[in-house]
Amino acid sequence: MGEDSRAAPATPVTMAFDSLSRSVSSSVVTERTGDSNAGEECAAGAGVFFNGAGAGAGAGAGASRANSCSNSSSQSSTKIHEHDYIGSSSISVDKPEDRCGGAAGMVEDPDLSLGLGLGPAPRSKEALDCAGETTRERSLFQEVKLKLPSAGSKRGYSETVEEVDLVKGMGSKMLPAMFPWSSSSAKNNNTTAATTTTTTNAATTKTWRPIHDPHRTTFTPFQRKDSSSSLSHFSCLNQGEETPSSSGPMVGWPPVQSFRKNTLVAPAQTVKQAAELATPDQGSNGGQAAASSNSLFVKVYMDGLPIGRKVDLDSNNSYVKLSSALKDMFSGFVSGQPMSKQKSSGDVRSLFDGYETEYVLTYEDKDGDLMLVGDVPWRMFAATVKRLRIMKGSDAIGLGVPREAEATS
Amino acid sequence: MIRDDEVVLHKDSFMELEQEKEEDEREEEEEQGRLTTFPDEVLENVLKFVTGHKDRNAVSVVCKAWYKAEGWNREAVFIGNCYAVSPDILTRRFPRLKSMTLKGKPRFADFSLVPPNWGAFFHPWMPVIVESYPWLEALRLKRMTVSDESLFMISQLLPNFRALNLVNCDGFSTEGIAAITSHCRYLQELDLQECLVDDRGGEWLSYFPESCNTLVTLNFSCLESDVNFECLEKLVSRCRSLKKLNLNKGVTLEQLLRLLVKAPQLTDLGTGTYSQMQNWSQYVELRTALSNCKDLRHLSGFWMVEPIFIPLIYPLAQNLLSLNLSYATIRATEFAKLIQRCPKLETLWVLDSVEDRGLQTVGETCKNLVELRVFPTDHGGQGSVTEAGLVAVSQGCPNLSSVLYFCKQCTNQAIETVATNCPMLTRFRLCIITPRQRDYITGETMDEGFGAIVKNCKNLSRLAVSGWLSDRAFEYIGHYAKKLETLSVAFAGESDAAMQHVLSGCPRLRKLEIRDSPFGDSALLAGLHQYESMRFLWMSACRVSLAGCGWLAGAMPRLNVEVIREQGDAEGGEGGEKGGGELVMDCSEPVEKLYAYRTLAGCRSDAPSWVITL
Repeated sequence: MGEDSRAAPATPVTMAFDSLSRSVSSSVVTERTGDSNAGEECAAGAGVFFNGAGAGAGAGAGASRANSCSNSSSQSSTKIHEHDYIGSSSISVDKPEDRCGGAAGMVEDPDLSLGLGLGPAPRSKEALDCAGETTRERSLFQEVKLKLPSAGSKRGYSETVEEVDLVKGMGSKMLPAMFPWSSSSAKNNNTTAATTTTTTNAATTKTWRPIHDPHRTTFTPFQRKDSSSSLSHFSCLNQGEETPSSSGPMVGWPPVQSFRKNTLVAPAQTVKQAAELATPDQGSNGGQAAASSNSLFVKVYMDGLPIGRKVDLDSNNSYVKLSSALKDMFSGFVSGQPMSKQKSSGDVRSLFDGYETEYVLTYEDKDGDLMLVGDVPWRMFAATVKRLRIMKGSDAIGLGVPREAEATS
Repeated sequence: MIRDDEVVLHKDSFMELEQEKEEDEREEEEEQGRLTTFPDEVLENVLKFVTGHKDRNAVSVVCKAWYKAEGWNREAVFIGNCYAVSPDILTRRFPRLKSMTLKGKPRFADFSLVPPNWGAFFHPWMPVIVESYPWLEALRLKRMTVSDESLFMISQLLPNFRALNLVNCDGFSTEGIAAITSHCRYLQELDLQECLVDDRGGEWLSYFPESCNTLVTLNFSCLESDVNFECLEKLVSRCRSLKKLNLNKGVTLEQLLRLLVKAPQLTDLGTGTYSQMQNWSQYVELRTALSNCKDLRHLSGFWMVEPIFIPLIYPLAQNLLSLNLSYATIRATEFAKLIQRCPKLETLWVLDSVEDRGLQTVGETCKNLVELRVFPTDHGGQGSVTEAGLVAVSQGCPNLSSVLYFCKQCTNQAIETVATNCPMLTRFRLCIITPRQRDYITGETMDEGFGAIVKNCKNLSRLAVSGWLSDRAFEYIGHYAKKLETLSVAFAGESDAAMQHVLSGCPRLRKLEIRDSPFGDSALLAGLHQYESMRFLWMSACRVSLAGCGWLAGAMPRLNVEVIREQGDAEGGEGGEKGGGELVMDCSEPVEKLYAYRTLAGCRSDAPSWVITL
C-alpha cells in the first residue's frame, strides 16, 4: 500500500465506489489481457475498501491502484466483455475513459453512499450515473439508494437486513445461505430486485474480492464465498456513526483506547519521517523530526553566515513556499546591490533574483550528497533532505560533484 | 497487607464496638443456635487475614454471623459497577472502609461507543464518603467522571487520605490535582493513568509542600503541561520511599538524568520524552544513572523514542520484569537488540512496528513471558505484524497467560498452534483488524481457531473474538469455555443461536459485550437466568428491539436496562424534541445501544435524556 495514499484520507465510500466500478472492468482485464498484477491489485483495491477500519487509507490506495488499472484497461477497450461469475451473460463495457473520468468525478463527491448506511442519500444522481456505465449496474445502485434512510446517519439493523435481502433476492440462487440475517421479514422491494437478478449480482459479486494481501494469490478459488462475505460485510459495516470525512468508517474499531489512539497518531508519523530521513547515527537529525509532531525542521546555512536557521518543511510544504520563507529569513544578508527585476526567473533554486550576487539553493540529502533543490517532487525532497544550504552562485559551479563543491566553497 | 498503624486504629475502635456487639450477638445466639462456638472477636481477628475481594465475598455468605463479622471487618471494597449499589447501601453493609475501588462506564466507552455525559459521576459519592468514611485512605476509580469539586472535598475533608488512583477518568482539571497535592498531608500515591484531564498548567506539582516526603507513587504521564522541574527534582530527592515514577512528555532526558541521580531506589520508571540530548557527555552519565537503579524492574514511557537512546537501558535489561513500549514506534532491529538482553521479562507491551522479527526474538529470549500485548501503530489496518509473530512468541513462551494481539489477518492454524503451545492462557484477545476477515489461506471462518483456544485453554477467563465467525464458534465457546468470565464480540455470529450458546453454556459469565452482530430479541431473552449473576450486558448495533428490551426489563426488576440513543439533535433538555420524555421510538425498531446491568439501587437518577431506563 502506498504510504502516500495513506496520508490523504479520502472519503472511504467514494473511493470504494470508485474502485468498485473500476474493478468491474479491471477484473475482466485480468482474464483478457493476462495482466494479472494489475487485475489483482485492482481487485484488492476494491476489496481493500472492506478492510473496514482501514477504509480511509486502504480505499485511497485502492483508488490509486484502480487508477492505474483503468489506464491499462483503456488500452484494450473494445474487447472487454464482462461476464457474471457464472459466465452466463455478458455486460458490454462502454468507454473506459469515461469511466475514469466519471469515477474521478465521483471521487470528489463525499456524500455518495452505496447503501452502506453512511448517511443521507446521495446528493446528486449524476454521481451515481458516472459510476456504472451499464444500465444494470446503475439500477443496482439505484435500488440500493432506495433503501437508504431518509433521515439521520444511523441505520438500524433492519435496514441493513433489507438490503441484504435485496441482494439476496437478486442472486438468490447464487448466494443461498450466505446472508445469515436475511431470514427474518424483508420489507424490501422485490419487484425491482427481480429485474436484476443475475447480471448485477454477477457484476458485484465477481468484483468484490475478499480482503486479502494483494501479494497472495491463493485466495482466488474462494472468491465466490468471499464476495458474499464482503457483501454482507459491507452491509453490516456501518452500524456506527458515519462521518465521511473521518479516517475510518467505524466508530471504535479497531478497539484501541482513544487515549492511545490520540497519543500515537502524530508521533507515529513523525518517527516514520525520522526513520526515512536519517540513520540513527546523528541524534539531532532524528530529533529535529521527532521533537515536535507534524513539523519537520531542517537547518539552513547561508554561505558567509556562521549562524544557521531552521525552516519547517511541513508548514512550508512546497518549493514556492520554501523559497519565500527562506527569502524572508535571509534577505537581510544578501550581499551586493539589488539590480533590475528582469533577471528573476521564478526558479526556486535561484534565490534573491535580481541581486548582484546570485545564490543557489542546495541541499544535503541522506546520502550526504549536495544536490540542487527543485529536481525531484516535493515529497521526495522532504523525505530525503537533511539540511539546506544557500550557496553563492559562483561556488555552485560544478554542482553534481558534491564533495568537491563543498570543499572549494 | 495490614500496616501497623491500621491495626492500631482498628483495634481501638474495635474494642468499643465489640462490647455492644457481644450483647447483640448473645441474644441472637439464643435465637439462632449458631454453629460457631467462639466469640466474634476471634472470628474478626481471623477474618482480618482474608484479603482479596473474591475471598471476602465468599466468606461473607457462609452464615449470618460471618456476614456481619466480615462486613464490619472489611476495609477495602471493590465495586465493579458504580450503579450496582448506592452509597447508602454501601455504608450499611461496610461501615468501616478505608479503601474504595469503583468502576464506572462500560468498557466500550474506551472506544467512543458511549456518548459523553452518559454517567458514572463520582460526585454523588462524596457526601456519603465524607460522612461515613472520613478516615478513607485510598480511592481507585476507573472510567468515571470525577469533578474538581470532588477532588477539593477529598483534599479538605479526608485527613487521612493517602492514595488516589484514576484510570481512564475524565471531568477534572489540574486544579483538582493541585488541591490534592497541596492539602493531603500523607499522600503516598498519585497515579493518573490515561485520564482526560483539562490541563491548565503544571503548577499542581509545585503545590506539594516542602514537608511532603511520603510519596511512593507518582504517575503524571497523561498530563501534557510541563511541570516545574526544580520542584520535581526537590520532591523526588526528599521522597526517599518513592518507588514508582512515571513522567510526562515534558521531561527531557537530561532532566531524567538529574532525577535518577536523586532516586536510585526506583522500581518502576516511566521516562519522559526519550529523544534529543543536547550534550552528548550526559549520555554516558545517564547510562550510569540507569544502571545504578538496581531495583528497577518496570519500564515505560519512551515517548518519541529515538533508537540511539535505547542502548541506555541495556544495563538494566537483564533484570527487567515488565517493559511497556506501547507508545514507542521502535523498529524490529533495535527492538530485537534490546529484547535479547531481557531474559526475565514477564510483561511486554509493544507496538506492531517491531514486526514478526521482533516477536521472534521475544519468543527466543523471554521464556518467562506471561503477558504480551501488541498494539497497532496504524489504526487503518496496515499492520506490520502477522500471525507468525504471535505463533513465534507462543512457541518460545509456554507460560503465556495473557495475550492482546492486533493483526490484519490470521489463520486458524496459527491460533490452533498458539492454543497448543500455551495451554495456560487465561486471557486471549485477538483482534483481526479487518472485520469479518476469514482465514486468508483456507478461506474458512475463524471458528476452528477460536474453538481450539477454548478447548485447550481450560482456564480461559477472558476472550475477545474477531474475524468471520459463524455460530459454530459460539457453540464451541458455550461448550468448552466453562470458566469464561468476560466475552467481547464484534462483527461475529450468524444468528441468535450463537448468543444463546454462550448464555447457556458459560456459567461463570460476568461480562458480555457485543457490537455489530446479528443477535436479536430471542437471544437477549435467552439469558434471563444469567443476567443477575453478571455484571453487565452490552449490545450495540445488534438486532435487539425496544420491545425485547422492555420485556427484559419487565422480567427482571433488579436489572437496569438502559437504552442509549444517539444524542442527535441534542438540545437534549427535558422537553426536547421528543416531548416530555416519551418514547417516540418504534417498538420493533432496533435499539442502537443496550446496556443492562444488575443493581440493588434501582434506576439511576442522573441519566441524561437520551438514556432511557426501562
